[in-house]
This record gives sequence, C-alpha cells and structure tokens, in this order.
Amino acid sequence: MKLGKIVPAGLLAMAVGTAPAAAEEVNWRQFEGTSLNILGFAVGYIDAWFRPMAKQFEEETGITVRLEVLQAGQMRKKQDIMLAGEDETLDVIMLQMDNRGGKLTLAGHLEPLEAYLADPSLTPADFNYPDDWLGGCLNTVKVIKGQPLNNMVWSAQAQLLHIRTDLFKKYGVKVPTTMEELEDAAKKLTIDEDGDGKPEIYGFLSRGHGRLTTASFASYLFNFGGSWFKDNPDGTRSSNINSEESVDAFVFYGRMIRDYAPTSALNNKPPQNAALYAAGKVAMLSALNFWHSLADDPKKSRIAGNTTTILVPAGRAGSFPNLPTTSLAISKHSEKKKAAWLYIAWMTQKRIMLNGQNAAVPMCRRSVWNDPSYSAPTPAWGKSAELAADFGIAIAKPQAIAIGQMRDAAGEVMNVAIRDGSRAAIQAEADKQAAFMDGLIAKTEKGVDFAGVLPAFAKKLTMKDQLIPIEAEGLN
Amino acid sequence: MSNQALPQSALPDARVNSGRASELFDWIDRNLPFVFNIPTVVFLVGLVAFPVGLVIVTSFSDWQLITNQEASAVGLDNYIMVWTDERWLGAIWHTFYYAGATVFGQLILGMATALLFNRSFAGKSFYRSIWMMPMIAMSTAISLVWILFFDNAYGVLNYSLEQFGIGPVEWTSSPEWAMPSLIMVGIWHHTPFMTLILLAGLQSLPTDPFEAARIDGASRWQVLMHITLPLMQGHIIVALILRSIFAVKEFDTILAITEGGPRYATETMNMNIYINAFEYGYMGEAAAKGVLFFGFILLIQVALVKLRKRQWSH
Repeated sequence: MKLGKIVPAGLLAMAVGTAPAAAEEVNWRQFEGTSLNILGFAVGYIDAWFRPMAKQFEEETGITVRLEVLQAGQMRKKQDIMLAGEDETLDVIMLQMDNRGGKLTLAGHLEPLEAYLADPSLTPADFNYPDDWLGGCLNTVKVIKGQPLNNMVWSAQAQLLHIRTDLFKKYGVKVPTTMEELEDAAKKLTIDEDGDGKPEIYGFLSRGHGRLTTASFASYLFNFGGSWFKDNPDGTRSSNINSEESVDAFVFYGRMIRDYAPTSALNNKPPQNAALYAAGKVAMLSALNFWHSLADDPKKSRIAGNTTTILVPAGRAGSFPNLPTTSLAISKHSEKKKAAWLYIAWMTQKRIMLNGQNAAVPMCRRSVWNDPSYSAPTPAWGKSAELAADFGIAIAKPQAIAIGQMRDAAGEVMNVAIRDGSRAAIQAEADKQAAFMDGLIAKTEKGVDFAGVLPAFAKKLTMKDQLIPIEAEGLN
Repeated sequence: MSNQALPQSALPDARVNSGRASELFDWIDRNLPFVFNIPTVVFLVGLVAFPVGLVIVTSFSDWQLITNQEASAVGLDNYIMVWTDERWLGAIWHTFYYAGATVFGQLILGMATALLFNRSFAGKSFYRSIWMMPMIAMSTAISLVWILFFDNAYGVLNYSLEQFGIGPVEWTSSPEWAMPSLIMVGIWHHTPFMTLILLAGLQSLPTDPFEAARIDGASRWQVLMHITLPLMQGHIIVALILRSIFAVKEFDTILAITEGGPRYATETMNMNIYINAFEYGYMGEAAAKGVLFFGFILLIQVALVKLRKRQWSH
C-alpha cells in the first residue's frame, strides 16, 4: 500500500474510531418506566425552574420524578438520615458543596461522576463540562483536596446588594462601591419622613439571626481581609475569626444592622427580609440574587421596577463575591445511578439551563449568559450576577466537618457584634469562639485537608469591575 | 354425601388438614391469655423496647451521623462529658425554668377561669368555647402567628406597647426576653387544658360544705382558701402531673419560634438533644442526654405521684 493511500486511510480510521463517541446521541428514553427520588430544599427557583423542568423531563424521558422539597434545614436532616442509613431509594440530592459537601464527600455518600460524564450514551456530546461553566461556579465544586468530581454545580446564586434605584435617585445618594460609601448611603437612606423618631424606610437590611448570619456576612468578612480559617506553617489550619481584620468586619456588620436596619433583622430569616424589602421598608438588602424575582414582581412587591442588584461594596482587601452555589449529586447508595445521572445531565444541558436563566435563576453555564434569547431582569442584575458567578468563591460558611457548630460559633460573635457593638466585647467573644473552633478542628478533622476557599483561590475583582453593574444601570 | 362428592385422593389430606387446624385451635384455647397478649408484646417490643434499647446502646458509643470515622464504644464517657458541657447545664436550667413558669402560670389562670366558668352567667357556653380554642390549635400554626406578634419593628405587641409609650421590647431576639416570651405562648396555649381539668373537678365537688360555710357566714375568700382548694387538691395534682410532663417535653413551639436561641437562651434539654443529634450529628452524645432526660422526667413523675398518694392517704 502506498503512503498516499495509507495516510488518508489512517485518518479515516481515526475518524471512524472517534466518531461514535462524538456522534452517538443520548437515548433519553433508555430508562423509560423507571422512577427517581429527588430530595431538594425550598428556595425561589424550585417553582420558577425546578418543578416545571421535572415535568418536562418526565415527558421527554418517560422517567417518573418524585421530587420532595423541604425547608433547607429539614431537608439536610432527612438527607443525613437517609444517607447514613444507606437508603437505596434516594437517588438524586440537591446540596450546597460549601455547606456540607466536604462532610458528605468524606463520609463517602456521593457517587463520583467522571465515568458518567465520559459515557457518550449518558452524556450529550455537546455537554461541554467544565469548559462552558463559569469560573466562580467551578471554584465551589471541590472542597476537599483530592476530592473526585461528585457533584454537578448548576445554580450561580450569589450574595449581592439589592438596591432601591428610585430612592438613590430621589435623594441623590451615591451608589456604594466601598464599605465607607455603603455606610454613608445607609445613613442617608434611613428616612424618618413624619419625624416621629421611627424611620419609615431603613437604610440597610441583612441577616441578623444567629448562625444564619454567616452566609450574608461572608463577603463583608473577606472584603475586610478577614476569613473563617487560616493555614498554619505546620500544615494545619485554625480559626481566624478573631484576627484584627475579621473583628473589624464583625464591628462594621454589627453596626450596620444595629444602626440602619429594622430591629426585625434580629429575628428574620431570608424570606422575611426579602418581604420587608419588597414592602418598601428598606433601601438596601444584602441577600441572594434570586430574591430579585420577588422584589420585582408587581403582584407581590411595592417596589417593582425600582430595584436592582450590585456587587457587595469592596473593602480594604478587595471584593470577594460570596457564591453559595447549588449542585446536584447522586447518592452512593442509589440503585438507579445511571438514570440519576441521566436526570442530572438532562437538567444541566444548555437548553434546559437557558429556561432557568430566562426565569431569573442565575445559572453556571457561561453560554446561557451569552445566548441571544436571554435578557437580564435589569442590566445591573445581569452584570452583577455574572461577575459573581465568574469571580465568586464559596465562602458562605466556615467549611468544616463540624460545620453546624462552626456556624453557631460565628453566630455567637455576630450576636455580640449586633447587640453590644463594643470592639473589646466582640474581640473577647471572637477569641472564645476561635478557641472553640480550634478544638473542633482538632477533634473532627484528623487527616482531612480542606482545599479551602481563600482569597488567593479567586480571580481578583477590580474597582472597575465593581462599577460595571452600576454603570450598566445608568446610576451614579 | 359431601364426602362422596370429593375426589378419593383428596380425602386423607382434608382429614389431615382438619386435624392440624383442630390441634391449633386446641393449643390456642389452652394458651388463650398468652395468645391475646402477643399483639401487645409485639407492639411494645417493636415500637418501645427496641428503640429505647437502641438509644441506650448508642449512648455508650461515639457514633456520628455523617462522618468518615467509625463508631466505637466509649463506655461511660458520654455520661461523664455532659456534666462539663455548659450548654447542656444551661439547657437543664432552661427546661425547669420554662416548665415551672408555664405550669405555675397555667395553674393560676386555669383555676381562676375554672372558678369563673363554674358560675352562672349569660353566654357562658359561648365564652367557654372561645376560651378553649387555643387548646385545639396546632402548635406550629400558633407559633407562626406568635412570630408575627413578636416582630420587633412591625409586631402587634410592640405596636400596642408603643401606644402607652412603652418599648419597643425585643421579644424573641434578646436573650433576656426570649424565654419569658416563650413562657407567655406556653401559658396562652395550654391554660385551657388546665381550666378543663379543674372545672371538671369543681363540678364534682360535694355541695354540703359550701352550704354549711355560707350558713356560718364565711366570706368568698375563706370558702376558696379553706374549702374549695383543699377539696380540689387531688384534681390540682393530676393537672400538675399532666401539664408538667408536657411542659418539660415542650419542643415544637420552641423550635418554631426561637430554635433555642438567641445565644442558647431558650435551649431546653429537648432542643439540646435535637441539635446535637440532627444538626451536629453527635448521635452517641445525644443518646446519652436522651437517657438522662428520660430519667429526669421519671423522677418528676415519681415525686408528683408520691405527692398524690400522700394526699389520698389524708
């Protein structure tokens, strides 16, 4: 055989050899007739995207979806009990890797996904993971060193600052890009119109209720240069909530709640905070970006059309958007792992994620942000959400095995920061809780190496980036 | 005739089966008391003894719910460790503070309303029905309503106080006020039950001593202190036993309203066990605390039952 024939033949053979994987189409009905049990937590996007898509999935695949949605805390408890009991009926779980991903990974309850991802009969050829995923989302996927890929991240929900554009314009207040400007804006927008000593509009609102504060406080903590933990020279890690920078952040956040927020903040959970904002009682709300759909709904909100989101203002250490993403994972004990993966692969296809994106559920796929059919609810919402999804890090909670106790410990410091406010008292409580956290690390994390989510891990946002959403909205 | 209709080969089998059935019925007849107890025994072993046994076994281990560490036996470590756990010691105090205050409040208000409803007045049935309504309301539902009442900035309680120039009070968000707020809910929710028991007691009292006292010129206060309350002792103790059991075990309203906070100020023993088991995953430690909690309740009940027996002997 001549070389001139051998080369084309070889090329043809190579093409034929690789063609089936590229050309093979996923038979979405290969598990028709089976059923999947999915456990999820109640958030805004469940009704906006998750439930409608589950119905569409049933129609397209013939697989029945039994979606059980519980309040997040209850869901976690049910999930723990089912996983610890190696329940074979639980197939797909919704989880936030920055919350308990490390714990579930170490306990071996999450199925590694690489094999499913590489299987052309189960994953569409154009699935394009991880290339089509935004950088911030990918930062949140692995929390333990050496962790296999065991979750498919999809929701790029981020902690952002919701602002009342009408109030900023009416009172001529500068939209904040720094913490100093944030406090100044909160002061100016705490408005007592009738002079009875009780503001009709409060300047600022964020979580002030115990352990829940960690999620909204995280950006402030990292922007001030603080962190939950620090790496020690001997390779161990210890609590860093009592460092000077961390205490500065506690002092600032505590003052913002105490001086510029309604006292309801001390009781409220995120839905109540979002409701107060939608009722027009607050000028700025530090909360997850999916709450925008409530605030901008004319049927449920008094401020529809006058709200948008921007990045949490930068601190002296920079700007670190807090990105508590949501993932889908397969229970290691499921008897229907392939069908479970088919569900995850179907849900995280571009066309399905685009549906979510168009329903104001921020998604992790880069291509849906650039799709011509997509338009953001407001320009600033779109820009701030995309920047957070690209630059964000999973800092919402102190990632640890004993995460519940760690969050309670940080919540204790926040209680003092909000209620007392003196630096000495906050420092004393932070020292006490840091020692407690160190004890927990020593007790529960033998041989565990959390990859950590430190500022060095993230791409750095500049002040120019910080201004992008504000300028997109035509503010300032 | 019927035997002739059967196939020949089936006859011996039928006789054998009939013989076995008859033996079985004979055996049941002979062991009737034992047989009748089987369902109860199965129920008690399956639903009470087995879980309780499992809790006791777990209490001697360091089992964690979600972990990469294998559970191992730790002997009495969990039982010793709890006495150095500040949150647990605080939880013991909170439990008795909550139970004592709510039951005391319910007793005073329950007795007052029972005395009121024991009298005749227009619309008594209607008012009594209204008064009893909290008793039949679901704990979670009433907790959600009270959360709205307690709201620091927009709640009806602070709004009402504001009209008198008082407040605002941080009902459930301050460590000082959180427990009194829960006690208020507890009293509101369960006083009707106390009223019901005490009213039944009042209506069962003999009328002679009251008539005699009236003839002798005793005042209403004297009748209450020297006749009504002494005669009601038995009913009061029964009501105290029942309500104190439920008050010590109170869980749902505390979980719904404060979740044990702020700063663990409303964390009762029940809440502490729940948080340790299902929030933190320390099942061994939580099991040990559960066993101790059971012991506490048992002690209270034994003390109250002894009190009741002493009262009967009088």
